[in-house]
Amino acid sequence: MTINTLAKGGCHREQMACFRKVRLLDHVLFGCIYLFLLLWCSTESLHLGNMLVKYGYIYPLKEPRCLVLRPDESPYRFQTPYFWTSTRWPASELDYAIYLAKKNIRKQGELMEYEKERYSLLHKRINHTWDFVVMQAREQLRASKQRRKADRIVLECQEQAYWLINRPPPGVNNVLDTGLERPNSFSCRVTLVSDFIIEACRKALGRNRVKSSICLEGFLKYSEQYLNHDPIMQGCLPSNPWISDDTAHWTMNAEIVPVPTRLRVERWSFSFMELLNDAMGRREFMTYLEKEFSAENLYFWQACEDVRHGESSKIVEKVEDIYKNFLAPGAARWVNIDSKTMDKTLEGIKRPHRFVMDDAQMHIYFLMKKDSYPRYLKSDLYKNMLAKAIVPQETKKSVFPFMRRQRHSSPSPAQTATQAAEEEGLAKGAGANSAAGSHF
Amino acid sequence: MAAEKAEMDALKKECDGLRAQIEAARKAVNDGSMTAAASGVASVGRVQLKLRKTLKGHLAKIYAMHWSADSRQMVSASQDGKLLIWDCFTGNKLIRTPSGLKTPDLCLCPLPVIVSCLWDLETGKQKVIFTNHIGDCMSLALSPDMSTFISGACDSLAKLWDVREGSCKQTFSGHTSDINAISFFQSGNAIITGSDDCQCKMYDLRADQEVICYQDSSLNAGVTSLAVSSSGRLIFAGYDDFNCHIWDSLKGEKVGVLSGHDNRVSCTGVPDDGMGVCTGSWDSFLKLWN
Repeated sequence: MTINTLAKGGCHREQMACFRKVRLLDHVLFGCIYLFLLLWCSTESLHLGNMLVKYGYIYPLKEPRCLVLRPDESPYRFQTPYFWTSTRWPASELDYAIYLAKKNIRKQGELMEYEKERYSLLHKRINHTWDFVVMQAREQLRASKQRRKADRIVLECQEQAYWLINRPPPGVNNVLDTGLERPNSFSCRVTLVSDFIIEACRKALGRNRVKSSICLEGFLKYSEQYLNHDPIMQGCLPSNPWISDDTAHWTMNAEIVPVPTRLRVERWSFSFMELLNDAMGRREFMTYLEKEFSAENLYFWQACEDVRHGESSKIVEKVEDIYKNFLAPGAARWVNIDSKTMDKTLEGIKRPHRFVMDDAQMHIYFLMKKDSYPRYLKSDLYKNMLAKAIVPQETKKSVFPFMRRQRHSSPSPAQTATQAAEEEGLAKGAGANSAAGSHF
Repeated sequence: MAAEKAEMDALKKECDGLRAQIEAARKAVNDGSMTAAASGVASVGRVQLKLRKTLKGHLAKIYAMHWSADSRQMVSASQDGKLLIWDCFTGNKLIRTPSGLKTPDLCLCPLPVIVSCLWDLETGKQKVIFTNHIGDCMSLALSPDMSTFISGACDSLAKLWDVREGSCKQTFSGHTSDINAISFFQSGNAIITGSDDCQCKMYDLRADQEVICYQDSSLNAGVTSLAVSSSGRLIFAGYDDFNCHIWDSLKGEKVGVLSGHDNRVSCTGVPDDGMGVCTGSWDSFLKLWN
């Protein structure tokens, strides 16, 4: 709705005279302002209008530097919410520098005197990020060139209006001034930014760093361990569904199957997370824990995971259930958490949120990882599972996507039979192909 | 005025001093290179993946794709304004533009401005806003344990964030141009970034620095997208030269190429079960290789 239609319908026509020329932009929010304004009496409306112009919510189109609401035909426009003065996104030195840089490029150096001064001052103060300033300015100019001319002009007007409020020219009162300190100078804000950076640097300096040789070794080990489990590197049994159009592999490795594959059971021994992430692995581990009378740990861990990843609306009730079943004194499945963590968790439960059980969950996780998990891997339960696990028969010779000679790795037992057959084939074709050529 | 300037200078000096100390600390733990560590590993030889399927259906440039957790379905987004969900096994399109999709409760999205936002999909509200980058944030990746995520931006920095606290935990520098693609290795301890400076770099999170750079003098096109095979041995990097090059992550060599697209490769992805790799391009096709 436009102001005109409102004026036609209402009996407050006289009081709205000063707003008759205000043009509307498509912001639904402004509907609220209209309603609000209708309730003011006539003298107040002019004063309120002036305030809106002073604080940059409405800007004049004809004389942008004269921030006064004239009760005549001069045109005004609503400022876009993006450029409203806000305490959440205060205008920073960086933003101002980018704006001046853009203006400088656009007008080829023809800035106003005070703008030139501020530009060179900023250049000195935030010299360390000047590359980014120029880069941002160029990017924004490039992006704006792709807009329609009308839109570009509107955006330029809006931006100019914003900066006239936030960095007023010398001699003009800064309406955003608060208190005696008059933060019209840059130093206050730049100090805050520097403090923030220094704090971040100090934290970063204090972090624990692991030797790169150890990290690299870890990476190598992971890569070698998972080599046989990487279908792109080693192919997969019985066949890669993408190649053979046979979904047998997916069926055999579905979430719950009567007998899991050998590779899958092997993976459970790689890390505790591998075991916990696999539904069947969790089930097996649960069976083992029941025997050891420590199954409540896994139930607790699962319940905490449910809180972390489940629906927001159910968090409160889930946390209550966890308290009732696992943490309350005399609970059916009471878990053994150290007193410090328990106190912290109980305190947090009073205001439950998604991550409130994190500390307790972590404690139980490490308990299981250090204690129950290694024993599970040595147990008969696991060993039997491994022995029972199926090794699918390879359906086609051309399963392997490309040839490779693995001189140093030890192929998993699943591969040895097929490996031997392949080596034979290689030997026959050795004359025609180079060492690592492909025969596809 | 002079007092202010003196204060500024003092602060700047302190900042620079701290930065130098951090670099020194990183250097102190840098006692090995990937080349040395991987010297005993056999090379993979030439990797030649075949094109298994071409998925046609988009009408304009494809900008992004993502595999579903079941490793069989995937979603692709294109400039034609549509999201298509594909069944990669049959090659059929399942859904056009999402309706009734099952999605995780929280997901991360990069905005083309300086921040990343965490949206709560249930309520449609922004939950946390992560601000720190100075340039546009171009890419995000969630860690395998979902407690942290990494972002790559046009300020040539990669940052690691804690999802819960909303703070930046680590910053990695080294690139000289916009970072367009970023990804975690499955181990969760290392990340890989691809940039407009035509290089890919691997950073280790525990060593807090770059460990190896993947570059080749014959490659003059920027990297647009990255994906890693499930063991971490192979890196699939999509470039502006219309190809997807394959790198051996341990040896640091280029070991293969996926060519077949008629325009820039804009996205690559390896599903959770590691069956193969999917590349999406501005030529509006998605190709599956293994």
